[in-house]
Amino acid sequence: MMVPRRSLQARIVLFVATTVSALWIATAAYAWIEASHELDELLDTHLAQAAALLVAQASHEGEALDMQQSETSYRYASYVAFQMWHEGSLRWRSTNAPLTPLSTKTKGFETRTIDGKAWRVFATEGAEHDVSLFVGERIDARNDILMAMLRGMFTPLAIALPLLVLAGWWAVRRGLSPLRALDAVLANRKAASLDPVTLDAAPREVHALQDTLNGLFARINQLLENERRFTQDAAHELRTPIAAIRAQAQVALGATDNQDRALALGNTIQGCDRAVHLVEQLLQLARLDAAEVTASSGARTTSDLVDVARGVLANLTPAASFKHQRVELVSPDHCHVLGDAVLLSALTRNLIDNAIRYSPVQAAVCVTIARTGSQQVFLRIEDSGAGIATQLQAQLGKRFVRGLGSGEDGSGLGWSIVTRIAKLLELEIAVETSPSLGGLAVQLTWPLAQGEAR
Amino acid sequence: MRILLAEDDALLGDGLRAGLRQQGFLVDWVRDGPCAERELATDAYQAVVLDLGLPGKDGMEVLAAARKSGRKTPILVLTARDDIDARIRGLDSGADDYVVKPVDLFELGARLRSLIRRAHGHIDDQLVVEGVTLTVAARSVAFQGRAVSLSSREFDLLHALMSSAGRVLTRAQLEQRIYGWGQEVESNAVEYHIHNLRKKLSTELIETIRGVGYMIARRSPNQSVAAK
Repeated sequence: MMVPRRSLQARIVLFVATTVSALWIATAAYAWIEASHELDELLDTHLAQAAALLVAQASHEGEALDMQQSETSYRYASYVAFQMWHEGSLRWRSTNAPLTPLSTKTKGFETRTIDGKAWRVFATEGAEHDVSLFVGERIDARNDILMAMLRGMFTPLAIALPLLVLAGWWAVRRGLSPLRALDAVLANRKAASLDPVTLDAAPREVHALQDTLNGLFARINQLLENERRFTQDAAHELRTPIAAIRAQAQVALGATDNQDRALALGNTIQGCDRAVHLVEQLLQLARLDAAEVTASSGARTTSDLVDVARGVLANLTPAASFKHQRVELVSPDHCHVLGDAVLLSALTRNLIDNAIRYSPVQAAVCVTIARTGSQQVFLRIEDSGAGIATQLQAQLGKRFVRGLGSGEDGSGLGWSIVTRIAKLLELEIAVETSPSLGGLAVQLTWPLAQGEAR
Repeated sequence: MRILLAEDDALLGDGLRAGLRQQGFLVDWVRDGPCAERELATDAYQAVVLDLGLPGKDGMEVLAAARKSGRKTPILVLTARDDIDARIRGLDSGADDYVVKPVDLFELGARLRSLIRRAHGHIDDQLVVEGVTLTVAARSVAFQGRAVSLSSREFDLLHALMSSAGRVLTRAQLEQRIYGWGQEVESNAVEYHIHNLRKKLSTELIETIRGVGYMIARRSPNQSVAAK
């Protein structure tokens, strides 16, 4: 028994939650990169502009600025610093600015660490190169801004994700309810039950599953029914031959004269042969029953009908010779038709066997394979026997229906086999009185198949 | 004892006929429903073995028709169908016994003898009339405790007369009992066998009813008591 995997529902919900989180993280990463790039550009521009303004101011006020410290109380004040140097001495700086130059460069941007903190510094000079100006900004400030932005993105996700999981769980649960209903119906069935499963308002997806299941049940049912019928038929039909064998054997045992005993023993053997023939035919029928259910696998291949008929005739000619019957095959050298050779052989054998069996001594049996005017292949078996009354012709093919007073011990199964194979291969059966020989004429006509082999 | 066998299967019919003949039955064999019906109507048989799957007319119909027309001949149905429903239907339609194939020939013979016995109101295998003891299955006869050897025809004749003790049987009826189909009835055969029986048993046992036939009269109360 297979251990059931995690429930479909849990898997779907987990998948959705993971995917949404991953997408969100990817989006955030992209936003981080984009935003930090834009922020760098913007803030760098601000630094440069601030520096330009300060340089202009410094040039204007000259030496008046002396070691002044600028006091600011803005929120980001500690994150921004500036220095103005005049001819090597620090003249003006913000309170948080160090006493050493902020930058090693005299012009342009630089990122460096001062007192363990990362700074972005812009350096510039006055027009006469006597004033050096540094404007710095702590990198932390930039990161804080980015983090704030990310927080703005992640907070809704943190709230939405559980809600999303909950909604997904509910939606999946609703969506899967027909499957659960099917599960419940199947679980409540008796194990041996083969009745069709019925669900109220099943959606399309489950409908297909239900149809497939019901189709399977129907086929299994059919197979079981066939099996049951086979067993019944076999038990029923074998009783008479076995009773005959038993009676003949008992007669042989009780016979007082050798001739009677020999006769009874001969009859016993004949009875055994007949029982074997019957069993073979029953098995053929059982196989056909199964073939019908498990789709016609034999119907797709082609075989040489003439070849098959020749083989069958070779096997049956001794029986015909025994009855002084004349058997002939009229056919082209080859004739390929749709159908498995085994099926065709069973079909042909039963038909010719019937003709030989039910025709009297010295009768003629003629097998013809040819094409009709519309190029359809036909197999025709005619005999000069007594034929079959029209009203009995309709009964042909019912299991165990035998001709009246035929004097032969057919099982009545031959025709069943013929009609079953004909149905499987989609052949048309015609039964009539033979115009040439006067007995029974049976004709099987193949449908015109596309791409039929010549 | 003359039996009608209605069986369409050649091998089985042949075997049953031969086997029953070995047991001393006279067997006439028909192979289809209409023939069985026609033969049943002749009243020539002590019992019938009827196969149900007869061509032309089903055994069941033959059975029903025979009972409907008031025929009391014991009918043993021989069939391949062993389901309870079929048995019940068969017995309800008037079959006296129902045997499923395959059957032992001796069992079949015993069942037939039993049916015939009961049809004559006897309950065991021995008939005892006027000091003559006739054992049907063993085909043996004893007179006053002494075994008597009889020919097959003599036995059948004595059996017929003893089974119907107290009733007159016509010459034609007796001929029917001792000859099957295809057996040529010799003229005066009945008289000849009666003469022999009187010689081997006792002259008073079989009475001749002039112009009618023969009978074994019952002078003492029915003595057909089980001797075993």
